[in-house]
Amino acid sequence: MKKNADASAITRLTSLWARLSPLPGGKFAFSKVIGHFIPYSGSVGAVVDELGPSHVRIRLQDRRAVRNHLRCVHAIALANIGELASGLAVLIGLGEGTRGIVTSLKIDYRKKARGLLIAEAAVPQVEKPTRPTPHTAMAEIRDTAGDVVAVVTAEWLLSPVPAEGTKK
Amino acid sequence: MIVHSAKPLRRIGAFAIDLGLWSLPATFGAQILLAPLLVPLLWFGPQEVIGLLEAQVLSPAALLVAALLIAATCVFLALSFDLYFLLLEKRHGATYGKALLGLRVEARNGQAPTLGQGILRLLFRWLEIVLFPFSFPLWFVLGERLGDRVAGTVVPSDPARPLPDAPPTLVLASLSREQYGALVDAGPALLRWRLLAGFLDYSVVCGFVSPLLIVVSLCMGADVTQSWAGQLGLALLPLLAFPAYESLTRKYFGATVARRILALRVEGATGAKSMLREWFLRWFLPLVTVGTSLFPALLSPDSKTLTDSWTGTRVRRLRAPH
Repeated sequence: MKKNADASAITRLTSLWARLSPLPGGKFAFSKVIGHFIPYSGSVGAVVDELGPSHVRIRLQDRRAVRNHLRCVHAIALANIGELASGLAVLIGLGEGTRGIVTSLKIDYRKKARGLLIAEAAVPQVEKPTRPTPHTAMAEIRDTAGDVVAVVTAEWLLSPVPAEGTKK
Repeated sequence: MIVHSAKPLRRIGAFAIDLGLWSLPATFGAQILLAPLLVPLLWFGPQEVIGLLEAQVLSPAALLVAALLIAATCVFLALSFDLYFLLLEKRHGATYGKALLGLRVEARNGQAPTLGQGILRLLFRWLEIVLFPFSFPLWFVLGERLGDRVAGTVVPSDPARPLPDAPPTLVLASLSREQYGALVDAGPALLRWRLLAGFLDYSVVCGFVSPLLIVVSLCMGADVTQSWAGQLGLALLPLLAFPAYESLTRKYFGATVARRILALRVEGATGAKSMLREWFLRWFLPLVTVGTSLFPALLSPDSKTLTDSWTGTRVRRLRAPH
């Protein structure tokens, strides 16, 4: 039987993390692979620092490509890493057989974001959905001083991956 | 349980990725080693050097130095190639290419390969590369590489592994400011890390500048390269290349290549990223002090150089590359 592409993607992703992350520069390589498959998320050049079921940590280096005219990190770059962190935490926590799409994204900006930024998302264990189910996931973004610069709240619509041949 | 080796095509794919990854720093390294040979080329011009070689008027010492440099480059290339595979496979069970394509190296008993097995594999890798027309068909006959057969190792497909358990809550939110600071910042950068970063950055710049110098001198011709203005221009190019490299990498990548890899960060007096004035002083002062500004770092507990003291900057080491 042909494997379901969506279902095996999470397994491939977690396996790749397990293989690459112990290597020197492996987290950077893993993040480049993610960026290849999710090009817009990859455009900010964030690096996945920790990846576990329901818990993800991502760092973003402050540089010209992610800045705005106010000499700080652009609001949408922050939204980008927050959404990526929340999405990875939700989908990897659920494992195979589930897919998700963002239906709502809210972000509170609390401080000008400068320097190295760390986005962290932790999602309490979620039941595998049997029908389309909304789920809210939060990610906090901090600077090197430990101050929260932004809080991203993403609403994900989670649904089981349909079997091959059925309407998606 | 018998573990079967992965298919040759997948392993060749992994080898091609590894070759590509290794070749980039290896080429830079080779360029630096060969840089002294470029000096006569730049000084006399390539036509004159070829003429000197053909006329056999070069001293034996000069030829010996040239031969030694070429030999050192060959040894560097071979050693770096071997160490890339040996260290990664011994320590992590896979190279980058193997990890990307889901392969791993293990002994036949399922344990990690020993150092002896690793050395045998790499010796046979060279043999198989040299005897490629024979070793490649043999691979299909044996169902594994000759090196694996001799060393008693196998390269199977790496099965999917579960992720380690992760905390279900936000960890960073529960940390105090000091704990968070310790999580991000590993303290002042030691002098050895700074010197290593300097050497690596120097290598990167040389890797770019040495071919540029050849192209420029070839375009200018021997007459111009031997004139004082030409010499001055060629000498200024590498001097200007370092500040330009730092400025551009800082702007577009956040830090120089080596500082990003070694997780070093230059901060101003306030702890924020250093500003343009500090950056200018950091480049200008070492030129004036001719390296003596490093000495205070040997006595200072936080490896502070004279340049750091004058400009009010400090170099910190982060926990993770940035």
